[in-house]
Amino acid sequence: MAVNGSGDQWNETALLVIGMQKDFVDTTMCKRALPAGEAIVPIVTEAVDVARQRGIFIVVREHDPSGRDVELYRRHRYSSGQGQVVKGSEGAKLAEGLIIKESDYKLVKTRFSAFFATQLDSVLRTSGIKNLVIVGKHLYPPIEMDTAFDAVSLNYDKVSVILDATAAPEPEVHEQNIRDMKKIGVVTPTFEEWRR
Amino acid sequence: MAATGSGGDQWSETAMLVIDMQKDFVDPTMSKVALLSGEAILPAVTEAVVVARKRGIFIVWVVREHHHSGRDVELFRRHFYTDGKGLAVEGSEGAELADGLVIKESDYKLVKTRFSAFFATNLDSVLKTSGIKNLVIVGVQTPNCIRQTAFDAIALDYDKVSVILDATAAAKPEVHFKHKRYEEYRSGNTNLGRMEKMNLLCTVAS
Repeated sequence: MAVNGSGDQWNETALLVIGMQKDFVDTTMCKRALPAGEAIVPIVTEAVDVARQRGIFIVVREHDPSGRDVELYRRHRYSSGQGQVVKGSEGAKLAEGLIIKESDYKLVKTRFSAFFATQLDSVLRTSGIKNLVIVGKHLYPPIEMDTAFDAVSLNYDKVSVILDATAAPEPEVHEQNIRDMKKIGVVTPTFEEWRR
Repeated sequence: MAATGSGGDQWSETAMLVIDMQKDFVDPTMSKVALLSGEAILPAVTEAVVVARKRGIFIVWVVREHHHSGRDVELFRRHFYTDGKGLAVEGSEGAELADGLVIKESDYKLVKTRFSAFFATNLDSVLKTSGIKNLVIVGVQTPNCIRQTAFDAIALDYDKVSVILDATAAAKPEVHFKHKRYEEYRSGNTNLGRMEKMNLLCTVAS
């Protein structure tokens, strides 16, 4: 899977870029944005460049302004006009520097996991994808580790989460998440280790 | 969760999910990889079930059962099964519920093969068509099956999802909780604290 051709076969691998939206990682856009998320934007951008020739999956949340398609426990924020990633809003856009290209696939989700009630598994399988590489703000809230857990449950051969291209609100939370994922066979390289 | 005994309709919309409380996971005499912390919560889980029964709460026994070849277990565990060391093999003693836990006729046994009790099972259908809106979760183990089940429950729009602190466990206490009192979990540094952010109620059995 490396740029120089060693390791896994690229044509069976997909990069999932999760949640890299302004409302989540741009602290000038939203009070609830994650500084740790902001810190990983450069490295995520670089990972995207590395993977781009092969096609990548940009996974975003988009919600109805009324919040009718968001989890129950968050709905009150939408009814008070403070909902994040409302469809069409500035906050729903990708963070600065990240652009969706024509060969990419944009996947909209409304729950934690990129697989929950989406066509992601179907699209990946019918593209012959067996391995996944995950980057993004997906470890905050840590519930978005759901994507990694679902990937394992769905029998993807190799699921990788790039350590320094993912973020959580506090380092200890991030570390615990990484430990939990390792226990279920998820590989956790750094960006440098992965790109080699 | 004191047993006041005046349940009635109040509990008709609540189900208890008892997750993976099987010998291979919580009985160290059965399996070397059984969780000692799992064994430690067995009394609390047993008590929780007693209280649930008194209140007429619908009890679902969620268990893993795998083919001895491991063909239905997660890929990363399959080598255990080919070596003959697979856990919770269907029909084995290790797959049975821990001592003291008994499935009664009014209960429901649900077999799963992945972390979440909802993954590739009919659990959501069974619960919703029984009018269940609230879930109480006990069992093992916190970062995997408990957490994924709880998150899926939220994703599937259950109204109130509760995880009973001292009737759930992980391999190490610090994985389960950093502080003894759940009010201190606000920092989000724990599995339970993180779940609390989603309005999961993390309560103690008393």
